[in-house]
Amino acid sequence: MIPDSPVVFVVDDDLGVREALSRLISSAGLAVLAFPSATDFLAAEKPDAPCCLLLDLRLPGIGGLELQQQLAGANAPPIIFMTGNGDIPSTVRAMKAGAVEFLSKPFGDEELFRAIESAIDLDRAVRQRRSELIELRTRYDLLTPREREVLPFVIAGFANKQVAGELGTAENTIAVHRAQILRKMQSRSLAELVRIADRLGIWPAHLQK
Amino acid sequence: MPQHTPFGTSADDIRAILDVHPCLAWSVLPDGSLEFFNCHWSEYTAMDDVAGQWGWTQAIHEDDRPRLMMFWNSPVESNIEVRLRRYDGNHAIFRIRRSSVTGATGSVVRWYVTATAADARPFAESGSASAEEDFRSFLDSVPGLMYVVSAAGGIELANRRALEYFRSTAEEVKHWRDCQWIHPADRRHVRESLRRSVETGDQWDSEHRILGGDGVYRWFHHCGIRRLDSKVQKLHWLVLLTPIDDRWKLEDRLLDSERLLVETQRLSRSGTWKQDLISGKVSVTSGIEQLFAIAPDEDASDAEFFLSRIHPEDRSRQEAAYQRAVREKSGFDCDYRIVVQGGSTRYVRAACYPRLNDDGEVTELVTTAVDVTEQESARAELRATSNTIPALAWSTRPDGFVDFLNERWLDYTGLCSEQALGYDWTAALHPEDFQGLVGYWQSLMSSGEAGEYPARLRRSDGAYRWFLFHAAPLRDESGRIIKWYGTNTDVEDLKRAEEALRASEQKFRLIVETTPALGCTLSARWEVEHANRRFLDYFGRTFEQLKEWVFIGVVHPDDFEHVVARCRHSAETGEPYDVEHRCRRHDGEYRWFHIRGLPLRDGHGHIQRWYILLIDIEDRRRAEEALRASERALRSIIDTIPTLAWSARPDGSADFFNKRWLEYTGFSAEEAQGSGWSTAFHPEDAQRMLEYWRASLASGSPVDTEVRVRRFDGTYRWFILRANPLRDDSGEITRWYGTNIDIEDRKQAHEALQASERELSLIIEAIPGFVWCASPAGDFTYLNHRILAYTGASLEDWAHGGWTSFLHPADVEATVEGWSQAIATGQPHEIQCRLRRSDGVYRCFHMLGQATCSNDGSVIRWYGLLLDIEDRKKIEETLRDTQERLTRSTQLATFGELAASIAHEVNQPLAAVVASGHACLRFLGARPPDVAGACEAAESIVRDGKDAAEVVRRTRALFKRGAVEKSWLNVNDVIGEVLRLLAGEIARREISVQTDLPGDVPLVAADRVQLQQLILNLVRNGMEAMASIDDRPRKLCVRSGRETPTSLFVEVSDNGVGLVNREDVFEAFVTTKAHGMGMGLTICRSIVEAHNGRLWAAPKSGHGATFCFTLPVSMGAEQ
Repeated sequence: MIPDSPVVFVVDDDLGVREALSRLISSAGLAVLAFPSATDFLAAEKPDAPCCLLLDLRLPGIGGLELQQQLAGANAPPIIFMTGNGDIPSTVRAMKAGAVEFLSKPFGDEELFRAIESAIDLDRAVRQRRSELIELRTRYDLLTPREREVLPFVIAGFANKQVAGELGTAENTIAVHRAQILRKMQSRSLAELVRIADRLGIWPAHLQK
Repeated sequence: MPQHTPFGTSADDIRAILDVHPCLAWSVLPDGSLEFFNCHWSEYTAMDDVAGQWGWTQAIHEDDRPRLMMFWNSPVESNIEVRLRRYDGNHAIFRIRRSSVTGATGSVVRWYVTATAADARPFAESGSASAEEDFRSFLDSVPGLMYVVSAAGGIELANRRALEYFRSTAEEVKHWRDCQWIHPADRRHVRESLRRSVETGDQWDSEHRILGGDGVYRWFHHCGIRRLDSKVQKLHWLVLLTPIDDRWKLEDRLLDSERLLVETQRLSRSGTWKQDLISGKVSVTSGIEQLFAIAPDEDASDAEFFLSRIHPEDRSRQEAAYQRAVREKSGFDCDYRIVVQGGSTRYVRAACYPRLNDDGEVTELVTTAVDVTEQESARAELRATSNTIPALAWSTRPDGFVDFLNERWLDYTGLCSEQALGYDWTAALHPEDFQGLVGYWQSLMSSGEAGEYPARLRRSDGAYRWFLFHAAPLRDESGRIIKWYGTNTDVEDLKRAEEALRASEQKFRLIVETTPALGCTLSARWEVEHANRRFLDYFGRTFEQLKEWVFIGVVHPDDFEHVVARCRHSAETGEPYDVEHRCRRHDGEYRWFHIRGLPLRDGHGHIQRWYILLIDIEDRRRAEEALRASERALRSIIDTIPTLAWSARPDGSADFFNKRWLEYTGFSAEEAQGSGWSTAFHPEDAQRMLEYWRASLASGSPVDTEVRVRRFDGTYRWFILRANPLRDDSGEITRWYGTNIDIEDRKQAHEALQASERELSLIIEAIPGFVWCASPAGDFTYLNHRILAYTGASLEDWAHGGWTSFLHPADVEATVEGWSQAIATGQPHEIQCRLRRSDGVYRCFHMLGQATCSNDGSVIRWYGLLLDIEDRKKIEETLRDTQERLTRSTQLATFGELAASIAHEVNQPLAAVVASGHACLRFLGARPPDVAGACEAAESIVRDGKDAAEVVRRTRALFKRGAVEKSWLNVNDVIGEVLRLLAGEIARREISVQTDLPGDVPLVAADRVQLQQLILNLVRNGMEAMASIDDRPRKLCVRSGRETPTSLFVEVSDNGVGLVNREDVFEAFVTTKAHGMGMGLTICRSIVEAHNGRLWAAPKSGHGATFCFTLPVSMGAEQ
C-alpha cells in the first residue's frame, strides 16, 4: 500500500451493499476496507493514510450515531452517513456531531465520490497539521527546562538584559540560551520562533501573568 | 113686609097662631127659599136653619122629592102626599097642601104650605094623643139632653137632643141596659147613686161621662128626678143631663198642676202648709205630711201639732219667729230640726211669708219647708272632717268674717268658737305678728289669690308657736269668691330644725375645715358655696376663682363625660353623688379621688345644699391597679395553660372556668356557673360523675377520674378530671381547684392499640396465609392454624427441627442451610421451598422470616410467613408464555419499527443494486473495459435485485399473518392483559397507573392481537411521553366506558410532555421522541379504522395528552 494513498472504510451490515460499494469505490482506484459492524471497525488495524468512513446509520449492536460519538475527539476519519430511511432528527444529530455528508440509500456514484473526495481532502489537511505540530513538539521537547523558561521572554520581545534581570542570571547566559533555542527549534528568525510558539500554544511572558 | 102680612097682625102673632095649629106650617118665597115655619116644623124636622133655595125640601124623602117639585110647578094640583123625615130619621107620610099669595103684578110672592100626617094625623087629632106622646113632646122641647131611666138602668125614652148626642134612634136606645152608655169608670158610682136614690127617694145626682155617637165621652151633670108612672106603677127617673165637660177640663188642669206641685214637693222633699190665722186651722200638702211624718190618723190641723214636732231646742225660737212674722208682717227664713217618731232628727229649712188681706191684715201664714237633712249631715261630716284634719282649719266669709274654726283650732287656742268667730280670733295672734298677718290677709282678700304667711299663735297654755297660715278662696260658677278656707300648719319644729341646722352647718364647716380631706358645699344649683382650705390648696385656687367652678381643667379629660353625667343625674334626682375620678392638682398632676356628695334637704324635701367630700385614693387606686394587673396576669396564665382549669366552692358549685374551658365547651361563664358545667358531661358519664363529685365533696378526697366532656361542636372527648381541695388553717375546705386534661387522643390511641391487637390476632388467624413465630435459636414457637391444618400436624411436630420432615426432600438441604444462616446473622430470611400437604401433595412456598431485635441488636424473636406461591408460579409461567407470544406479535405488529425496517430492508438491496450498477458502468467504460469486473457487478445486481424481491415478499407475508380475526372481546380484559404485560416496565419507569374500568362495558367484535397492539401502543406512547418528566409524579390513566348506545370508548391519558401538533400525531414518521420511528400511532389509527372506530388525541389540561378511541359495539362490530 502506497503511503498517503487514501483509504475508504465502509461499515454496513448488509453484505450486498458492502460488496457493491467496495467494488464501486475500488473502481475509482481508491483503497476500500469494509466492515460488517462497528465493533469490527473499531477492532481493525487502520493504515496511516488519509481516509474517510462510509457509515450506515442503522447497524446491529453499536449503531452509527453511537460509533460517531465513540470516535469523536480521537484521530477519527471524517464520516459519511448512509441511511435506508433517513429521518431528519438523526440527520441533524449526525451533522451536528461532525458528519461530512449524509447519503440516502440508494445514491448515485457522483454523489458518493464527491462526498468521499471532500472527506479525504479534509482528512488530509487535518493529518498535515497534526504531523507538523508533532514535529514542532518534538523540537520543543529538545529544549532544556531553563531554555523553556527563557522562551516566553524571548518571544515576548525582551532584550537579553531584561530577560536576565527577570530570571536573575547573567546577560551572557541568556544570549547562549537564545541561540540554543533558535537552533533547536530550527528557527531562522525571531518572527518564525514566535509563530512556532503560537502553534505550540506557548504564550509570551508578558501575557502569561 | 108689613103689607103682605095676611092678617094685618104682627109676625109674632101669626107665629103664635101657627104654632098652635096642629100641623106643620111654613111659607116659601118664589125662589124656593124657606121664609117662615112654625114650631111643629122645627120640632118634627129639627131643621131650624135651612140655607139656600129649596133647602127645606131636604125634609122630603128623596124618592118623593121629584114628585113634590112636579106638584109645586103644577098650577092645578092642590095637595100631594109625601114622606117627611123626622128629626130621628124616621119618615111619616104627610099630605102637603099649598096656597099662593099673589102680589100686585099677579105673580106669586109667597107660598103657604101645610103638612098634615096622612096616616096618624097626629097633629090634627092632637086632642086624642096619648099622655106618652105629650110627655115625649115635652121632652123634645127641653133644650138639653133628657132621658128616662128605668130602675134597672135602661133607657126607656130619650129626647131628641139625647138621641142626637147618642146618634141613635129611639128604638135602639130602648135596648140599652145597665148604664152601658156611661163611662165604665163612672158606672159603679152611677149605679151607687142610683141605688141610693131608689132607697132614699132623693134626687139622683151624679157627674159622670157619657159616650157620644162620635165615640167621645163627655162630662155631664146628671140630675135625675124620681117619677112614679101612675099608669104602670113603674118607678123611673127623668134625667136631665147638663154638659159640664169644659168645667171639668179646667178642674182637671187645676188638679194636674196640683198634682205637679205635689210631685215636685215630693221629689224635692219639700212641702207647704198654711195657717189660717182667723180659724187657726192648718192645711198641708202631702210633702208636709211626709216631712213631718204625719200619720193618717194624726190630727195635723193646728199649729200646735207642728210645734210639737220641732226639736225642743229649736221650738221656742220658731215660735218667736212666727209671732214676729205676724207682728211685723214680714217673712223669714229659718233652719230647725224636727223630731219624728222613732226619734230621728230631720233638718228643715223653712221659708215663711204672711198673706195679707185687702185691709193689710195678716190672714194666713204660708210656710214652705225643705228637708235638708242630707245637706246638713254632709255639712256635719265636713265639720267633722275638718276637725279631724291634723291642722288648724277655718273658713271665712268673703269679707274675712270667720264663720268656722275647727276643733283643733279651738283646742289649740283654748278659745270657744264664740270667742273666736268673726274677727276675735286675732286675740290669739302674737302681738308682733298681728300687723304683718292682718296686712297680708287683707292683701289676699283684695287680690283674691291664695297665699301663706308665717305667724305665731298662742296656745291655750300661753306659749306661742309658729304657724304657717294658708288661705285659699272658693269661688262660685261666676268666679265670685263665696268663701275662704284656710289652715294653720304648725311649723315650730321646722323653724327649730332650721335653726339647729344653721348651727350644725356651722359645726360642719368646722369639721370640713379640719377634716384631712377635701370638702366643699354646693348650692342646690351645684354652685360652690364653700370650700375648705385643703380643697383650695389642692386645686391651687382662691375661693373667688372657685366660684367660676368648671370641671374643665379640674377633672381628668377621660373622666369628664362620666362625671358630668353623674353630676347631672344627682342634681336632677337628688341621689347621692358617688364617683371616682381623677382631679388635677395645682401642679398639674392628676390624682384619683373618691368624691361623695350628699344632699341636704329642707322640711319639704327640697334640696338645699350638697356636701361634697373628696378623698384622695390615688395610693389605694395604685395598689388596686397593681393587684388587678397581677390578677390579670394570673388569669391570663390560667387562660393560656393548655388545660381546662376551673374552681368550685366547697359546696361543689363552680365559680370559675378558664378561657380554654369556656372555649372548649362553648359555654359562657354564666352558663357554666353553679352546676351548669355538669351538662357538658356525656350523658352516660353524668350520673357516675355527679356521684363521684358528691363523694369527693363529702370526703374531701382529691378527684381523679376520666370522663367525656362535650366540646362546643357537640363531639365528646375523654378527659382526665383532677381536682384538689384547698384547705384553710383549720383544715376546712375553702375551694376546689381542678383541671381537665384532654386524653382523647391517648385514649383513642390506646383503644386503637387494643383494637388492633385484637384485630391482629383475629387477622392472623383469619388471613388465608401461614404465619409463624420462632425463637432466636430457630425453634418454631407459634404456627397459625392454617399451617397446622395444611400440614395436618401439631406445633410439636414442627418443633426441634421436626419441620424439615415436611419439606420436599430435594429442598431440605438448601432450606435448612438458608434458615441456619439467617439465624446466625439475624438477616431477613427468604427462601423458596416445597411443603408437603397433609394429603402428600407438595406445593411451592415462599418462606419469609424477619427478626425482631432488642436495642442491643440481639434477636428476640422471628416472625415469618409462608406464602403459597404454587398458583402464582403457575400463573407466572403462563404469563411468561403469553408475554413471549405477545412480544413476538408485538415485534411483528409494531408497525413503526416494521415500516422502518421494511424501508431499510428494501433500500439495502436497492443501494447495492445502484452501487453495483455504477460499478458495472465504470468497468465497462474503462479503457480497456474490465469485462470481468462488469460481469461480477452485474451478477451482484441480479442477486441484490432478488434480495429486494425477497424483502417485499416477506413483508407481504407479514401483513398476511396480521390479517384481522375478529372475535367477541371484553375491552377491559384486553386492557388488563396489556397492563399486566407492561407491569414490569411501568414499575421500572416509576409510573402509577390508574384505571377506571366499569364492569358493564359491552363486548366488541375485534382482533385480540390488534386490540392488544393498539392499547399497548397507546400505553407505551403515554409512558414514553413521560420519560423525561422529573418534576411531577408520572401518572397514566386508563378509562373505558360506553360512549353512545352503539359505541364504547377507551381513553389513555398521561401527564407527559404533551402534544406539539394535534393534527399530525398520527402521520407516519412524525415523532416527538428521541427514540422512535414515528410509526406507533399511525398503526394505531389503521387498527382502529379497520374496526370502524375513531382515534383522536387531545391535550390534557395541565400536562400531557389524552388518546381516545371508540369502537362500535353492535351492528358495526359484526363485519
